[in-house]
Amino acid sequence: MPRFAIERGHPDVEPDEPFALIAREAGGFRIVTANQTAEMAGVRPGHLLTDAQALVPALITEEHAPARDRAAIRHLALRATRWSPWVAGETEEEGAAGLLIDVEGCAHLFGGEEPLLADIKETLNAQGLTARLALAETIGAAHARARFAAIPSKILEGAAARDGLAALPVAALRLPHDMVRVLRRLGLKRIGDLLPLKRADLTARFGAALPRRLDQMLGREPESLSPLLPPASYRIRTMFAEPLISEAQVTRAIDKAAKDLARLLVDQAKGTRQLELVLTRVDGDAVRLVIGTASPSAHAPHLARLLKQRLDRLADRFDPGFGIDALQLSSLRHEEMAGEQHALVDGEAASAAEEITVLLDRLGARMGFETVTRPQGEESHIPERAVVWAPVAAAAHAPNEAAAWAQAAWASLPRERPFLMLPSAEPAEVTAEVPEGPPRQFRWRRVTYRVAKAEGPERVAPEWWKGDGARTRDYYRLEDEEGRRFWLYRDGLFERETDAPRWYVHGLFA
Amino acid sequence: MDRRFRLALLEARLARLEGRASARTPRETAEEGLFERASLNEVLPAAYAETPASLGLALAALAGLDRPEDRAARPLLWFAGPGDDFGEPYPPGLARLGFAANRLIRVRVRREGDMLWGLEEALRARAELRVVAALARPLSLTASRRLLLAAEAGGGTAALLLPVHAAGATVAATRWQVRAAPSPDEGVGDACWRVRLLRRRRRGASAQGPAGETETLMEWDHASHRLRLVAALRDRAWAPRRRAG
Repeated sequence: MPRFAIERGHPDVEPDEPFALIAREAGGFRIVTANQTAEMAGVRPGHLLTDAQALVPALITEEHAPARDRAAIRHLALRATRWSPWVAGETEEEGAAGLLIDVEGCAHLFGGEEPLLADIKETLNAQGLTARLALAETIGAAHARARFAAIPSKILEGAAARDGLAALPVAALRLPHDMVRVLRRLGLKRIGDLLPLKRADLTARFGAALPRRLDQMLGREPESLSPLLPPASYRIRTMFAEPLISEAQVTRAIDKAAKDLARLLVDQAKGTRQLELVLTRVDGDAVRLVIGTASPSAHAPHLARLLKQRLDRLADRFDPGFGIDALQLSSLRHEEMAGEQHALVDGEAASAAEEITVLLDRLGARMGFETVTRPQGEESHIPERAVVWAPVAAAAHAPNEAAAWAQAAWASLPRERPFLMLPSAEPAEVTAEVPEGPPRQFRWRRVTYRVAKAEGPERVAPEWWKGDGARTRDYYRLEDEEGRRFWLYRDGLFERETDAPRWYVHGLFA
Repeated sequence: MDRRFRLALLEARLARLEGRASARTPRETAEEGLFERASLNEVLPAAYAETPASLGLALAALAGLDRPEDRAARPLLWFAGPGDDFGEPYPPGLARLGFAANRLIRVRVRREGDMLWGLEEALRARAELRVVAALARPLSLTASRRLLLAAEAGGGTAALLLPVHAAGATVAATRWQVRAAPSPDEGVGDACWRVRLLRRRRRGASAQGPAGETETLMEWDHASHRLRLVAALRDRAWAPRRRAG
């Protein structure tokens, strides 16, 4: 797509207005790429903005944002998964961008290679994108033909393919600019000029990159694309001859895909921890959602319920439009699963453990997986650092071991800990205290408490290696006359660390 | 503090020193447990400053429902939300109230609607879950009916901490008013509460049991993970004191 950056959609610009993307370079702004209207008026990439404006006074410009181009090509690649699960997209120079689709084994779904190319071209054009499509045996050949062949979409085979490639300029080889310039100066203008040369000579003169690119193009060296979506060994893809329009149809399709995926997982004694659903629409738009599970699951109704729940939350962003014509459900992460858990695949969830898993997944799917957490122990004697809350879905699938470790660590604490901790310690105004001892009376949140009993101090030294400027804390358990119990600390050692130690309420006992 | 309580405390302390059980031990409340399983139980702080103690009692009463096998693994879902004025659960201290770290799951909710939805789901799950939540405002009658149905269907038990001064109708099985009490121990000992039953609804009966007559002194025995009744004081004229509240 030679004009991707400009065609990917700039909502404020009408297609027939002259429009160009610019970037600041030495000597001022220069044109990165321009739309057809501007090009017809003579604006070319590399022109100085001032020159371009002299040619086309009405030229609309916008600063080139490569990051947005990359986001857009990623999104486009996601949509392209309707043609094949193996897709990659990347931006190139001068506002161009490329989409690489591995259609091996997929073309028959669209009635053959030529109808497939036609379908891709139509879909891209419908989105206002100029596209040059080529289909070839290797990534290198497809890449070269799409950019340099006179009629790229013509599918060539055998000797014709080889001849076609030989006629292309050396720039088609995906080589650095400098190398291309040197090759041209040496009179090696076309790929065909390189083919008779000895490999060793090429390596000696130009390094290993050149013969490698040749080999990749000719299929003598394998090359695979690094796909946008990670390859999954557990994946269900369904194409619908009749696009799905109603919610009920989509729901049924998800149920079926979940069932099929669960069967794949069960066959391998696996349960999924992370699922990905991609739905593509007839008009090329796509939605991708990823959900995690609290423990490995191959329980189809449960997985389907999670997906549907998540989809419901997207409802305002995603509507089937003219229909959904492809669905892809994959397990991105999976774990071994014991036999008895699989008994649940077709029946209803029976055991309490499974019920709990289902519940946690449902809570996470609605409120966000980061909100459903379990405590884990940390090796710190600073009270607020001794506990971290880890999402149930992300935690290692052995919550009991982690918890047992934490429990043992906490049981060895020198003194009792409060059951409630304030998110951050709150200052308390101590109105009577024994020097170096516990307070006799303090005021906190506008209530005065008279201390009847006190225990302490328990000294907690700062973690000096952290260098956070923390001071030594002396913790006291206090019980007031009414029986309310608090965990207070004095911050800083008197005269050694501070002249005026302050008191803080940190936690509460039952 | 109340004169009668001071007496009861002294008596309890004496009994402890002499190594005998407290002389006056009416058993009814203690043996039945404060809370009802598979239902809703409400805890009402007698004053704002009694909120942490009330939450502590709610947890102790939930732990009191545990059978030995529950103690190992029956999860406690703690819904942390807008009603939490006194901070977050701290597992090293919770373990002492009978909930080890492996039982604890914290669900943080941002909106009341999410909290009610989550409570309902948790109670309905057929896993006899223990559920605790501090409510920013009392449940509507409709909401509490929904939760009760869910609890009866799934077997979950909820301890709901009401905001102070909450009143009004409820379908909860029990509602307790709670304030802290000094422990009879010499130093800062195990937790102690003064509790008063405001409402108890028997399953299958619309009539409510006697309420409000007795204020009971309960203490937590962390060795046996049980609430223990220290003394019960009958006094119709008991009124919450406003001091320090």
